[in-house]
Amino acid sequence: MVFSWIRRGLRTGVLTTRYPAVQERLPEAFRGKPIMDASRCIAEQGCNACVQVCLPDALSLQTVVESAGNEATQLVLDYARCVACGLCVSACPQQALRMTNEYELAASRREDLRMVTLFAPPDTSDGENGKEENNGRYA
Amino acid sequence: MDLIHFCTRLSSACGSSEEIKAVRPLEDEIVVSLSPASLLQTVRTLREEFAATFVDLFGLDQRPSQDAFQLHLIFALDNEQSRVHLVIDLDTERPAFPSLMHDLPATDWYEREVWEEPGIQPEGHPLLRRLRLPPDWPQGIYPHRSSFAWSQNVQAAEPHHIQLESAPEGVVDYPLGPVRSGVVESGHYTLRTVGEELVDMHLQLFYKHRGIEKRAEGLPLPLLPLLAERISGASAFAHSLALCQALESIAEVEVPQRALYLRTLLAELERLYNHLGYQADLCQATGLVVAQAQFDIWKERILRLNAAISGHRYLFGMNVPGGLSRDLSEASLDMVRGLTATLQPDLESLGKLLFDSPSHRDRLEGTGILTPQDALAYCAVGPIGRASGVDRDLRRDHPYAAYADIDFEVPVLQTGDALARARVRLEEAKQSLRIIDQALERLAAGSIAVPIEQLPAGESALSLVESPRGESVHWLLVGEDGRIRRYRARPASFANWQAFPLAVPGHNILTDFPVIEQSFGLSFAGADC
Repeated sequence: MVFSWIRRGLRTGVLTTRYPAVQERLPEAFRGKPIMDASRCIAEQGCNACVQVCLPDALSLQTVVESAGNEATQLVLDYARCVACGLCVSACPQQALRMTNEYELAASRREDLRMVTLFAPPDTSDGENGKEENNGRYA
Repeated sequence: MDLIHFCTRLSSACGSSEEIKAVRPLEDEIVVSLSPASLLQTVRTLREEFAATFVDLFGLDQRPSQDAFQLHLIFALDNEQSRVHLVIDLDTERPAFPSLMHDLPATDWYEREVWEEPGIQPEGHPLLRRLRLPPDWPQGIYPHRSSFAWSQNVQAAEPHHIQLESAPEGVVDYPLGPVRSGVVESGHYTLRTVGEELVDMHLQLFYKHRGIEKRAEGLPLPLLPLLAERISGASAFAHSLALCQALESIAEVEVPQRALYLRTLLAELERLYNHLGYQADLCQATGLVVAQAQFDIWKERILRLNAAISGHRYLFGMNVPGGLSRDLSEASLDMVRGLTATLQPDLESLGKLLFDSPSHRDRLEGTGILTPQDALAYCAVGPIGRASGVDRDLRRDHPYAAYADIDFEVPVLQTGDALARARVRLEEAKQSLRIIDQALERLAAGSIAVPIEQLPAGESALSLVESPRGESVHWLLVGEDGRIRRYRARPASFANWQAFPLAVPGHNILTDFPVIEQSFGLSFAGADC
């Protein structure tokens, strides 16, 4: 009986993968880390579609007062809270959020898991609408 | 089902027809409103004359819309493919009902839960003490009452731990857990031994009580499946399926055929990886390491298949109210076909080799016997029940998704030992392959979801799903504002954990304990939501 199991084990061989020496590619469809293209985001226009559908509150919107005294909208994507459900991706009307199949999220500091995007209000002093100029300053 | 006969029998059993306030026949559910005084007799009649099986007992605080509490009991009428749902209105001053424990030991934990969370008194319950709430939870705060907000802060009180009687001379109490070797969930056992023999066991669960039922209240529709999935990750598909079926029933929508068949296929994939992982865990307990690896390899292959076809190794995110969130491509279906084709012969040979291995078999045979009488008394569900003679399987007895159109067998054994439990799950794995093949064959083209915009106020629905560990119960009530007012989720493991301590004493020695524990294969998270 023992020999039957040994034979089986030998036949199967070693299936353990060589990660991290050899990268593990996950399927395309795998829901891993969501990423945001801030240039498409319209949070400072009042949109909070992604925040509404985020159950673990990984996405949050705050109004912050900058050092210069003006208000800015801050969108935070906290990967420590994110459960990669993908609802934010479908909810975003601007397709600013995209699901990747990245699974390596480890960071050595807690704050490195918080992606903060600061949307400064558009600078209309010279007559342009400002969206091209200063959208998506990364903090 | 002869409704007139049913009502007549219930009324006469209760002595008068005023006690039975209303009987409402729904499609596959009979709702009976009655008074607390007639509860005991009604339950007796249901069990003795209509062969009803106890399924669930839970409470509900109806305030502010109505100044009353409500007690709900659910019984299954397997012969009729329907349910009986008892609803009892209780006053808010002193909500109470007569305990059912003397007739039906299975109601023990349910009554304690109802005492603890909505604060309804089960009168005559022999041992009322904390079940799910932590020892330092203050008295008089009831999380399932309307006055309690999910996010409110609760000041910890003086911890009040359960005191076990101290061991007499010559008896040793071994504490095991909640943190112990291996990657396992948190649960604590106190194993009482005389010499080598296990004479008793005290079980302390509920380290994972997360208040999922309460969290669901007021939550927007698309977020509800996320909660259900996380009750127990290894039954994520089954739980989200039950939730979505209840929502679809409330919204009165018809889920497209393709979605029904795909749901069946995915539910069986979930059952498969669970049953294979189970065999691996059992082999770990008996030290048959090559066998453990062989079964773990198959489990991992299925998890990788799941990731490729659904985006998640544990099939999270597939069920949405109205159907499925995404379709399975032809390439995905080919992957499923490929896997089942290679698994089927391998499972046959592995199974044969497994149960012919004396070192493994000897440790399972006669170990941890849950007698058929105990299994019935404690309403054991799923493969645990079926290994102890309880011939019930929701896929056959109360079919959902596409199961009514699919041929499969339900293995049932009578011995109730660890070997029987292992055999039943291996047979079920083979049947899962059969079901998947038929689902693939009959899969037609079509849409995979219908939209559900709003939920009609005041409606409720029950959904029963056979998760890999057994019968899972989900019930939803929609409030006046169209949002979820009450979510009841009773996973299979909650029912079976109650029966687990009965299998431990009785000619088992201390080293049999890991085998007994793994042979039950219950989920700690699944006891607890």
